[in-house]
Amino acid sequence: MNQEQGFSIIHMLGLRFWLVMTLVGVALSLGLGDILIRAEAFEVFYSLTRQHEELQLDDWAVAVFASLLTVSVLALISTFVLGKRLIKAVQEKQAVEHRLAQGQQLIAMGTMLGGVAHSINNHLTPVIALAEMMRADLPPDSDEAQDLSKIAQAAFDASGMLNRLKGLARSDNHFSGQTEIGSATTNAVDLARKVSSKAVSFRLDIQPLRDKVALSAVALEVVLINLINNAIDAMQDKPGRIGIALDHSAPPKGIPSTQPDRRFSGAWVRLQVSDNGRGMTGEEAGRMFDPFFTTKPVGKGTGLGLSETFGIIDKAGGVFDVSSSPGQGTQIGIYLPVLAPGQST
Amino acid sequence: MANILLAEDDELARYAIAKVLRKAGHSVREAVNGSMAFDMVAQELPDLLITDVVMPDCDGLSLLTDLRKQHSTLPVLVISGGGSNVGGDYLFFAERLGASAILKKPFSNDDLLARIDQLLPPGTLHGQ
Repeated sequence: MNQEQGFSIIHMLGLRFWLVMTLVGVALSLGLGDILIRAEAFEVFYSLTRQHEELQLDDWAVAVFASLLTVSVLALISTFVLGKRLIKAVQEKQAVEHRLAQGQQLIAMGTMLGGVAHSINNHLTPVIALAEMMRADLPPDSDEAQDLSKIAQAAFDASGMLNRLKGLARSDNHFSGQTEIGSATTNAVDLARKVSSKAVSFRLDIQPLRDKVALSAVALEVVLINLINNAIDAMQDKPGRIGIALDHSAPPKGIPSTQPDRRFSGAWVRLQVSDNGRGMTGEEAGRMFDPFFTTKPVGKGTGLGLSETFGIIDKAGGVFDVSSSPGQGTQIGIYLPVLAPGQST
Repeated sequence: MANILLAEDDELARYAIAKVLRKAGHSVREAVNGSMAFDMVAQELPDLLITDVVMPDCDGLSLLTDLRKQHSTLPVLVISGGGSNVGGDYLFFAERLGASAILKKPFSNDDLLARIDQLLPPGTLHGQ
């Protein structure tokens, strides 16, 4: 039985697990006591101890009984405590998996909508191009010219509707919203460490910033899980270290910043994830956020994790600063603009 | 009149865009994928490359990346339906990879021709 199967069995029993074990322990104790009484064990033992009084058997007998009683009580308490801890661990794991699954489902829905919109926008292109071209050859006031204008307008309206649908999908996927970056980062790191596929050492320097940024706590969890899992994969089965830092820092000059946005105060926070993995070449670093780009072996990565991360941060008005060299590890800086007081997303 | 290379895998879109460009007085060569476009650039450097993003056999972003290694000043207009992945906007990637301009589909002919005018070298004629 592996750990997952064990957890499943415990989960099936649920909170009743510890109660069942407790009742079993009590029943065994009562049953054993009943057997001893029926066998007149105590009378036999007493007469035996009277016959060998010079050997201080009484003291040994009391000691043994006391030890058995103590061990029984300790076993009972341990079963109770262990059961509760196991149940809590299983429930936490189930909650984490459920939350991740929810996020993934919503991402898939958004991806599907995005794919449909992309296709339809492609098909609307020749409709508009040819309608406008034909209209240009006709007298502007003619019925035919006006009909062709309506064809082009209808195509633009269809594209606009698709874009609004995409926007709805993104806002309904719980990645929008706002969160206090300090506490959200701490919680997200805790969650990410629990679901990380390998034991690595973490070096944390997370300042308790109370600034609010334009993404939800769930979005931040997805970002950190993606980055940490990529960092672990870059370590290629070697022991590794991942550093996570949060502070007030503005993007370096030269990094393309977001368009001026009245939502933001002008201040920035920086979330930095670094690792001592294999690092990337310049070309790999330039493409790391490309959809379906991956350096992992076939079957080991879809290439969507960092692309998804990019989209989340971009939507929040954030920018990236990546530095990496082959053999020197990677450092990813995520700069997020701070929301102005009273602003919503 | 400019020599324009159009890389677009969708037949109808390629037909329509090429027709608009020719009607505007430009000479247009057509490529159906990024690999073909790369070879055609090597044969004759165009005044302007217009490329879609999602194409078989070398997508537009890979084409742009490869071309920039040899032709850092070639004007490149990247067009796209906006990206098929919720996590990534192809046109934003294109800008990061060195596109001279981007245009989201669907676009009006006026927008397309105005963007081309901005990218073409000075003195290149552009007329009806």
